[in-house]
Amino acid sequence: MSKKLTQIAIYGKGGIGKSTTTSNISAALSVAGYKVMQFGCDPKSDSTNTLRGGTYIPTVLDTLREKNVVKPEEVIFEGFNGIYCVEAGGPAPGVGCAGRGIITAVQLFKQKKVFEEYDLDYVIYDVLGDVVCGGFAVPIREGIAEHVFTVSSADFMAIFAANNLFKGIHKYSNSGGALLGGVIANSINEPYAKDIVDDFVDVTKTQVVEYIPRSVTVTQSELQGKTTVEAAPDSKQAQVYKKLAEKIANHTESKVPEPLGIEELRNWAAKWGETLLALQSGEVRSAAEKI
Amino acid sequence: MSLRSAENTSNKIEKETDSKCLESPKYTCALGGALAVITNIDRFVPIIHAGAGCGTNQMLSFRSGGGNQGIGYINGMITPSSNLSEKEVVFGGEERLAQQIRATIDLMDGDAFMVANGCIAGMIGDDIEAVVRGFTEEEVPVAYVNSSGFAGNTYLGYEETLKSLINQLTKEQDIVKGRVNVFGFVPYQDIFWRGNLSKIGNILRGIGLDVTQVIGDFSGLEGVRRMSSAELTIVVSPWVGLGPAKLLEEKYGIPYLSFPNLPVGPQDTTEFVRLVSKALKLPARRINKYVQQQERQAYYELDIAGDVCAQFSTSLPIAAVADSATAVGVVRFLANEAGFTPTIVVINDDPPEEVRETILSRLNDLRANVKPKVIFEVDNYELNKHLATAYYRVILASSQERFAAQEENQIHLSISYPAFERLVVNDTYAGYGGGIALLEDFMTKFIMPY
Ligand SMILES: Nc1ncnc2c1ncn2[C@@H]1O[C@H](COP(=O)(O)OP(=O)(O)OP(=O)(O)O)[C@@H](O)[C@H]1O
Ligand code: SF4
Ligand SMILES: [Mg+2]
Repeated sequence: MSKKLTQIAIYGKGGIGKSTTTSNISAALSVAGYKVMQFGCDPKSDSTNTLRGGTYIPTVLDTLREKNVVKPEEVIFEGFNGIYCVEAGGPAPGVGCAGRGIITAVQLFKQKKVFEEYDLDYVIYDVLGDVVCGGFAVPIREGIAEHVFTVSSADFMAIFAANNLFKGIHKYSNSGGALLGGVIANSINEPYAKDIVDDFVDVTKTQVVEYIPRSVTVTQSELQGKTTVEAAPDSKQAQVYKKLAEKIANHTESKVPEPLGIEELRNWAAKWGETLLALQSGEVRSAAEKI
Repeated sequence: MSLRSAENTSNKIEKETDSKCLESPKYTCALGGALAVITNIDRFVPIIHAGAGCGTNQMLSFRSGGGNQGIGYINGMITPSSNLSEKEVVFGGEERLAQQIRATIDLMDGDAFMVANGCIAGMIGDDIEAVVRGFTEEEVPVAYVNSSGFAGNTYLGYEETLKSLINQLTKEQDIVKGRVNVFGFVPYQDIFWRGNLSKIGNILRGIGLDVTQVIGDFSGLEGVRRMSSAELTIVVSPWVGLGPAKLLEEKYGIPYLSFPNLPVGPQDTTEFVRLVSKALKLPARRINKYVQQQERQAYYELDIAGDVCAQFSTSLPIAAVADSATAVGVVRFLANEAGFTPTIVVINDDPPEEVRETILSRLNDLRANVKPKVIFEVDNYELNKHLATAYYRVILASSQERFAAQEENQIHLSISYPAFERLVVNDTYAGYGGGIALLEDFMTKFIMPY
């Protein structure tokens, strides 16, 4: 007997905090009573580390490499609060095709109807970096994830990556692909950082789901091999993640974003560059001016 | 013209086509070109590093479309292949290749082994050179060629393979006077490659030269190594083979010349002989004597065919569809020496932009002001549209043009790839007697043998 399963993919530039955020969302959803699976789509295979006390688990592809057939129970491991943890895995750096690896792993689960069997409420994909090739776009393609969220800071590189992802979503949107739920703004401490992200979501016709401050609690929890939600459930930071998870749980309608063209994006970044320079040199402008 | 080519003769192996899709283009992929070369070097063992279908695909298309020619030393269904599957796509195919090379060396008896990769290995970026380097201690050399199918067509594969052989298996050595390399004949892609090579070889030997053809003879590894001791490289094509010829010049200072078409019949064959003789400064007396002898015989034979040709020639306009060297060679002979009127020439090997003028110039100075329409086209649909609006009664083309010709009661003879309905072993239209052979083949079809 299966309930309605919601599949979510989290994308964002390398090192921006995808795995940290995803794991905290999984933890918070699980604590709230949902059945959750976190699916790491990254050859580094470290997505679910903080759900499993900092340990690595055997990956789908490693298992497949040895035996050709894989039973779900060989690659699904329980983590914090019964969260199912899966790592797609992939080739060693510099060889093979990681993109194809992701396709293989994700399709294996789809074919075997694993999600239905495990009676899940949520599957959350934590997908590596930029959408560099078709393989990394597989979770947003037809029949897999429904909603995509992108983690971005106010750094231009992170925003460029988000914009690229928007292009990918745009491309697959008329063939039944996933739509964009919004941006999870990570490491937002300075006021101008919030302004930048706000402006970006404004021009690309999407929204910020939650602003997550940069916090030492995250680092401390990570050092214990835990999510913030597990290690410091009463902290302010944990409340932020729980609020985020709640919003995601209540989120129903995603949209097609309107990514900026290359020229537009450059001009947009240049304008903000000037504003930041002015800020630095003391000539303060408020974001309300809307440059 | 639907295909535009980037520098085909340079070291670059990209080839740019516009986005339009092609209907039955007249060649296969670079892997096909590579295998065509490797499998025809005596006692060379090819190792395909590609998906399981690639080798079969090449074998079937060459076997049937290439004049039904059988296998060489190691070829066809017994060709070793790494048969890459999903596992290798994800994790890389280097280990699988190493295994395959090891097993092949252990099981197969060969003088050299050569890896040719297909699309999969190229796309996932397998470091084939590194894998092959692991076999440098073997008693027999192991070479490799990057022949990813997406990089280009058969011609590219042919050139890249010769270049790899030059780069990996030849060394600087003393030049041997009178020794020449002959390039330009791509096995199967040129259905007459074997006959063409041996005919050109015989002519060159006839004027006292020592010929290295590498493929289609028994020279094998020794022949490959001899390439760097040649005094001259002769490319019998306006473009195919220039890549390796230029490489030999760069590496060893060996000059090259390109004769822009297949020499068919006495006039062009003498021009060819004179060009080579001039480049090598061969003694005029010897050459004159050779030319006289050959021409005498050739014109005597042409006379014999002349009566029947004269009966029909004015009423038999001719169309030709073939690669540049063959099309130009055949048309020149028919117009200049046999008195026929070629009306349309379709060149289907997509020659690089910069040699097209040369090709055209060879078709612009035909006897009696015969001026066929010349079209560069690789797309079968477009090609047929051109043919439909042209007037001709004989068509020298590939099997693909056969059915349209039958409907129109035209006489059809396959002279280019794909040629399904012909068995070709030694057939050739090259050389002094080549024109006669051509006349025999197509005239026979309508003289009505009661
Ligand atoms: N809000 C935050 N506060 C403090 N540290 C954070 C925060 N978000 C992420 N980090 C830290 O940043 C580092 C990178 O985060 P994480 O591994 O989640 O990024 P990622 O996007 O998954 O990276 P990759 O692309 O390499 O998989 C981690 O050490 C993490 O603890
Ligand atoms: S094009 Fe690629 S996949 Fe097709 S046969 Fe050639 S190498 Fe193989
Ligand atoms: Mg990560």
